[in-house]
Amino acid sequence: MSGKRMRNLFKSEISVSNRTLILPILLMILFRFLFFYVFEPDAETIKNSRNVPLYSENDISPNVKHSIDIIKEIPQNTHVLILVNFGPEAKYELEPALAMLITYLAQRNVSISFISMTPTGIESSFLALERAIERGNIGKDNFIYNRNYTHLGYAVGDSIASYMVANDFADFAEKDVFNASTKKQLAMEKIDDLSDYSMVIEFSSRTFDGVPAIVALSFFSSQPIKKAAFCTTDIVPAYIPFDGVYLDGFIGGYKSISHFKNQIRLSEYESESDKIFRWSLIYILLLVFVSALSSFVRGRK
Amino acid sequence: MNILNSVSNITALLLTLIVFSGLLGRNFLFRLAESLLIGISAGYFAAVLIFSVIIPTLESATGDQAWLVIPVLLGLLLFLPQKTTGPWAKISEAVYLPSAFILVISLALNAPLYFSAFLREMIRASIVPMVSLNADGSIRWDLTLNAVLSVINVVSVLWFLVARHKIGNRVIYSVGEVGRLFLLAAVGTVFGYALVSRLILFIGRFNVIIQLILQLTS
Repeated sequence: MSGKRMRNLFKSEISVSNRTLILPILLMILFRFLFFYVFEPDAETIKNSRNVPLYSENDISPNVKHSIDIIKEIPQNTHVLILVNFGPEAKYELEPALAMLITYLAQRNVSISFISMTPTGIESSFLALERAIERGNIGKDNFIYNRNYTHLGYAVGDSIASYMVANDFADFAEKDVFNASTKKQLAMEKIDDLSDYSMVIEFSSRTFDGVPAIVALSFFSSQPIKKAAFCTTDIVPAYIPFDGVYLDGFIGGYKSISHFKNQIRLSEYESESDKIFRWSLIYILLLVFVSALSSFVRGRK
Repeated sequence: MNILNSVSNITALLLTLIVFSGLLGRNFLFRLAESLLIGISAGYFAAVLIFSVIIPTLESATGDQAWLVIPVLLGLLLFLPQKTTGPWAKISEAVYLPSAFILVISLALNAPLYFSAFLREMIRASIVPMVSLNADGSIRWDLTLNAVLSVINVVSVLWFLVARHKIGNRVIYSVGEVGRLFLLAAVGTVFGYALVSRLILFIGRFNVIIQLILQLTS
């Protein structure tokens, strides 16, 4: 295809999408104007319009509520293992929830061990830790590497890694991510086996060999240990079949994660930014829907 | 705000804007950002693999776990030159040994996992019991309907796989179309989930731009 033809094609695509988008944008501005200034002329309503919770308490599904309760029931002064299997692609979905969970566990004096089964997971876990320390008001001096938390590094090999962690944990956890021995680390005190953890929680944006890592871990491990998973919206279908079978708790997708953050509610910053996210998402989805509808009505291909 | 933070914030802001400029068409800056992303990702992955996997393995191999030399040597076979003719042709086929080893181990681990997780447990969770009852003995319609739909879904999709080759037979073909409907619903759902996930990423990045501009101007 010649350069000129390509440019023409590009130009025509831009103009079609512009025409398709203008009408819905105008309609949405009009709806917003009508809603806030004509049907709800009360100044207080307009002022608080952004503070109206999108999801009410009654809106939480029993499964999500049960999952949140399981996490809230983690005993004080115990150890928790967190699998961080997401990278920058899930930063805005999972990082705030992970930071909030870290803050919650730190307040209950629960030691945390991290493991990542993707290379980017290492960076994600430290970013979430920084976020928890900065915005969760834990205080840098109260949450120290080696004493309150440790990172056991990158577990390479997908399902082979799950098998290793499930069956040969002591050998796997011999050294941390900095290649230092974990034997004298307070965060790893009394941890010889996977069953020494009070709970294993996974934060994930992908599956390994087609199976969620925590499901593989649960399958390969014969020890009775509580397991919960948080996952991004795009891989919810991969986790749903295992909820209740291999998982004691499952919080999947943006809505459920929002419920979790609302229930734990430890940082005002997270709640505020969550609100902006939810409203923006609704606007964009409406825009996509109305655009598609207008294209359909006008018979565009 | 310290200087390091400012520099990293300005770099993040500029790079995000450059990537968004790709929406207006591919340009030099967009290609530069693309190359940067690929280069930095490759560098990061290499660094993690070297420091988290290769160096600790080599240290253990030279220490008390000498048997680790075997997988290390197997891994090095990947660097064998590829020759299709001559005396080296047979030897260069050894390049497949490490991959074959990993494949066999993965298959051995995954076969029972797939059978248990995807077949036994999924079928059990979906259709056992076929008719669910409430505590008072009345039928719980949501779970019952779910179980019935699960059976119709599996049967019709399997039927569809056969029916698409039997276009001549209208009855078989029409029943197969029900399976096609379920497949389309599944694809649509996955697409919807992926769209929402990517939109959240887009909103997050947009939010970062606004926050950074506010920070830098204040």
